[in-house]
Amino acid sequence: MIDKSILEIQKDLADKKYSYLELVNQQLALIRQSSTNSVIHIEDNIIEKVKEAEKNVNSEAFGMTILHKDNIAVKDQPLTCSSKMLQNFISPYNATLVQKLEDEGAICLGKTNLDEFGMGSSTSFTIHNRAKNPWDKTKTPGGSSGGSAAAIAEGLASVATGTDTGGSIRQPASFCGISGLKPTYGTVSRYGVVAYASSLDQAGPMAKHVSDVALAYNIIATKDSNDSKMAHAKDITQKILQDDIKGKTIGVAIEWIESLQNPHLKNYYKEAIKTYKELGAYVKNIQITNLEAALPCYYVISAAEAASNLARFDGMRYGYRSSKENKDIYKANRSESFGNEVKRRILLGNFVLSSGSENKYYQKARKVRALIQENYLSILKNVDAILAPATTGTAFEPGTQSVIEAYENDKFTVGVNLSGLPSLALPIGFDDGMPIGMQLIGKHMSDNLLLNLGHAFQKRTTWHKVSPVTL
Amino acid sequence: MVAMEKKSVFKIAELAKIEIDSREEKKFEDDLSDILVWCEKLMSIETPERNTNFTPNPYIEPNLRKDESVKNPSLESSYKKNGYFITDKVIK
Repeated sequence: MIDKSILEIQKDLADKKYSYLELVNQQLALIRQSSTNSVIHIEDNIIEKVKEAEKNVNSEAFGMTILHKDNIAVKDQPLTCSSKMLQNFISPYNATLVQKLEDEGAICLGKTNLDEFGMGSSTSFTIHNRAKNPWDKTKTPGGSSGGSAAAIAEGLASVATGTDTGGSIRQPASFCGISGLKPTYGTVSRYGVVAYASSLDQAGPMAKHVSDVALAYNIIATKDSNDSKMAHAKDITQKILQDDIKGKTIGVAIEWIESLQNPHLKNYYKEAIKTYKELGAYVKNIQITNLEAALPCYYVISAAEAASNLARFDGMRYGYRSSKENKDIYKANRSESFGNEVKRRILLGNFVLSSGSENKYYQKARKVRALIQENYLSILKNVDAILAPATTGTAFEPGTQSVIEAYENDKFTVGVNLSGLPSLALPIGFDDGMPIGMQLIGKHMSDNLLLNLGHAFQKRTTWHKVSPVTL
Repeated sequence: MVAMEKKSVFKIAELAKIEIDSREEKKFEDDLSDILVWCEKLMSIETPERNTNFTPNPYIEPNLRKDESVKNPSLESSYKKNGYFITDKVIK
């Protein structure tokens, strides 16, 4: 069951090969056996929810088992963000995307591990034990949505949700050999998603099959008056994926591919390009500029926004409360509960916003951001999508990188967030037993085109069907 | 080269409502210095200067009672219709 797409599961349920409850129980048994620390909480009252869902067998997400990243609110369930600050916090409401999926019959099985408040690329900065990559447990599943990616690779659910502020869906998806969509900024409501950097944050679905990513995306990509940054677009949902991509033009970020250290990876990208040519797409090389500046630009802007967003966590109305008799209880609460990476980014954010530094760093970063976006948009005038590496290599061992080296992991992903563009990551092969992923980047609101391109690729290849032997 | 001074780390931590001890102070000072040196890459990118030479807003409603108070050059060459200044931009 664990490798089947939701459409196949729906067919099995209709043919009464097994019941929804049996499916859910099997997934729960797998979660309990798992040793990757990807799932940190199993939802209560699942049986009642399955019974409720079974009343409408024709709902879109009937048969979908789902895990939510633990920075997304699920009513009456913990919402820790992997931080000591929120370790005892229970969400009083559902995030909009959680509610939409539940309304369509999806069953939430639990919450997944992440880097504290989404800050990190390895799912090691967490109050729960570090998440492990199911392909090799000594390695990281990536981050910050590493728990979601590892859980999907292991087959613990059909779909998981993640959030992508600088690559946090695409990098773990690539490290774990699954598919993940970072939607166009503003197409998925952020209501109930704990804010890290508001101008960059976007939640999206992760799954083995692009068709499952598409199914979940088309449920969650709807308007929501609770998020003022929702794009005012017409209905962008697409019920049926197209696999005919003849005549589409794909721009290849050839310099990014050539810059990869590992020659095996380059060959897999060349194979992926060849597959698209065979599928009838036109392929041409393109050049994305300002790559070196994109990372510092991202870290300045995201740290500035994080410093502002995380100022709300003072432990007064909710969250961690220090037992110290202290004059400044705010300081004690924050200092004792935030991890080092979060503190580092809050300090950086406050520094780049302080007088004397604001013009030099923050305003400059905003200008560079505009140039980066301009560059992407001018390229996308001539091509339908850009094919690029999602990461600089395969999964690494946690704790082996310096702060800057760790930040460099996001080299190929941050530009998409700075530009608000959609990007789909999907597996294209293996190097030394570890998955390799590519990303397809599209124009604003072209999420469905990317899903079609990904679906067509997966109809021709089998990389997404390979599972790690973990259980 | 940018270096983060001890004094700054303490000041910033104060702003951020985070208490740091001397061991943490050293660690954050080193980390932030490295990050800021790395952020210098931003300075190598040429970005346009902020345009402060704005065209006066033609949509500002003129004070018709005191025509002499209108100093807007884009209005000086415009003509009046029904008591209002009409500029090229408005017509366009």
